[in-house]
Amino acid sequence: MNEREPRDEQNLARLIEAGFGPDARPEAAKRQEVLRRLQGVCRAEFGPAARAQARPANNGQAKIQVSSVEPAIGRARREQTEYKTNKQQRRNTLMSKLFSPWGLGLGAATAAAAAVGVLVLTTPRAHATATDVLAKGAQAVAQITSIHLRGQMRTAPADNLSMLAPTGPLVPIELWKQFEPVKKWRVEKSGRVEVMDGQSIVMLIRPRNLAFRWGPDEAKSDANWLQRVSNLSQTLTNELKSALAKGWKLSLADQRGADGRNKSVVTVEARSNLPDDDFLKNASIDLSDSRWVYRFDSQTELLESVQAYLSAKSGDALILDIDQIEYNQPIDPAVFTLQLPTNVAWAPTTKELLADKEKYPAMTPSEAARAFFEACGREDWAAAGKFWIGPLGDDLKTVLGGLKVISIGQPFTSAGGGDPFVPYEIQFKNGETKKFNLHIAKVSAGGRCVVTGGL
Amino acid sequence: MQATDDLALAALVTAGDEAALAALYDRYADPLFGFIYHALDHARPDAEEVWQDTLSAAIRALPTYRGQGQLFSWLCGIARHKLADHCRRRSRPGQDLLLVPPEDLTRLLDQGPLPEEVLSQKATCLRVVEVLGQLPPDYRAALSARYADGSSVEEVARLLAKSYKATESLLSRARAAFRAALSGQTEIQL
Repeated sequence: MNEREPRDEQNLARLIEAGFGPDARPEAAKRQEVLRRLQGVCRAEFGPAARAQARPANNGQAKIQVSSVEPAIGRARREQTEYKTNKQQRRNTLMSKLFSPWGLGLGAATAAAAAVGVLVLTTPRAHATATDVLAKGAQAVAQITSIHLRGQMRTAPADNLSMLAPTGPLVPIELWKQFEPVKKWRVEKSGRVEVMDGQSIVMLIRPRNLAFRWGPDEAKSDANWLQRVSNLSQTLTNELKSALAKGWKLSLADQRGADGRNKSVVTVEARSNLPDDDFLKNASIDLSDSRWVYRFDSQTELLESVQAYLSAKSGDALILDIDQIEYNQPIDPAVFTLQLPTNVAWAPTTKELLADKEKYPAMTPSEAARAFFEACGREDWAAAGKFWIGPLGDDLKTVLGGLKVISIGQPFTSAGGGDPFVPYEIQFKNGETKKFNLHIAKVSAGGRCVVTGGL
Repeated sequence: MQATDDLALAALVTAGDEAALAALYDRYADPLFGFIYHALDHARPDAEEVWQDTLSAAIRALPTYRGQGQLFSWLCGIARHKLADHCRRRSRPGQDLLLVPPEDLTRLLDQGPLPEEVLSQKATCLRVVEVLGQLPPDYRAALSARYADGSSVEEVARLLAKSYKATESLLSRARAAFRAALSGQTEIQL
């Protein structure tokens, strides 16, 4: 043994302990969780579906298959199962098993809010540089015929496509859009899918298999924010430039990417302009104070990724990571055909909801909330159905039947506008109580109040 | 040799081999976390986020790895980008990540007990983790168990399913490799 070795060993031991002691290693649970996520990434990237997708088609280009969504969706289901398990351990209410916080309709409220926007720069020169990057990016994407976005978002899988669940897991989200010859698109996360087949939009909410249909106007999609991202030339010119007027900040940085290529990174500080105590602040993409990071390849000037971070006093939190963008790849037509399950339940049309128009339109939101809950308490499902936008399934009836109303409060609205919320406290027949805010929508001007979320 | 192994491992992962992914993860995930953890001044939640982002990005970028260097160095390169992104988002000054190389550790090793201030330096810890990440997995496992976890030689032997003698020998070779790598380490730049 070398005479230096004992001291050497002691020093090395201290060095290794300092650098690689237990504190400097991931916790076991986190380690397993991340490995599972990486397995999902690996399957999505290199699994059989991905290889099939990468296989050249007859025309020599990769063909995007509808089946490519499966790995992502499978991963989402696993993650959601894990999330639900944890959530149930934290707060084991029956309602949390059945409903996302807002259910339906909030997209309409948020649609009135601010668009993704930009800038205010510290110097005119920096401003010009950033807008130049955006303009070049817009030119680069002006000729695209199709786009395929893939990424992850912190959202409840079955909730509106714009709704955030900032403390929840990242859920895969995907968009396909063809611009020519007929504009069609599909947006999907594991619990909700919207397809515009050129004629109309059909939305399916899983696992309740509740379907909606409306016209082809994508502005009515509750993934409107993602549509804006996918309409790149508009995103990078009209919307971003128009947001200049809102006084939002923009910055530009040059980076070297992991692939060794130079990137231009445009960062936008979007502001909801809602007060901190507003009930809806940061509840959805459009009502969030968020930082948007658009990363362009400096050579091709094509957008390569988009990340959004929720701005909070405790620090920014990743809420959206669109890290794969493919352009001009042929998309399998099956992507734009939504295969509905055999037990699909179609939401009633507005006309159907407006039956009994003498009685129901006169109700205030609070009266409607009370009438809905009281009908549930009596298990009078015909009466409760007058206030419910979708079919009242057996799962709902099991949970809501026999409930007692403890209190119904005065309605309030977000400073961002939209339909009112009615505070309530109820007790389920198993003794559990719940205190929350019911989202009530007027289905048409002067129409009746319908519960669209908040259970 | 390690780079060749790394290249084979990367090739298997990009062929969709999940066992290879698990092996790669076992080999590099922990030291990569340590690297990020020290770079972020032990802010664990932030480190977990950056670590996960780094690993996801690395898996996606794995087809671009050509064995031009050790895989762990390549991973640290991606981590540096993610760390820079993270600090930019948090409005932390970039200088925070511009590490000044530590004292010549090998020289200090020869002079006597290492001063506490050297051991507590971010640059020292980063260097240790980077060196460990580049060692063969059995060397790292032995050093980690023996010195970071405080296991006895017998316990390390059981952990690695080796005889006592073989473990002593392995530890001796691992220490020598660690020391050599430490002295040959190039400047760490973030």
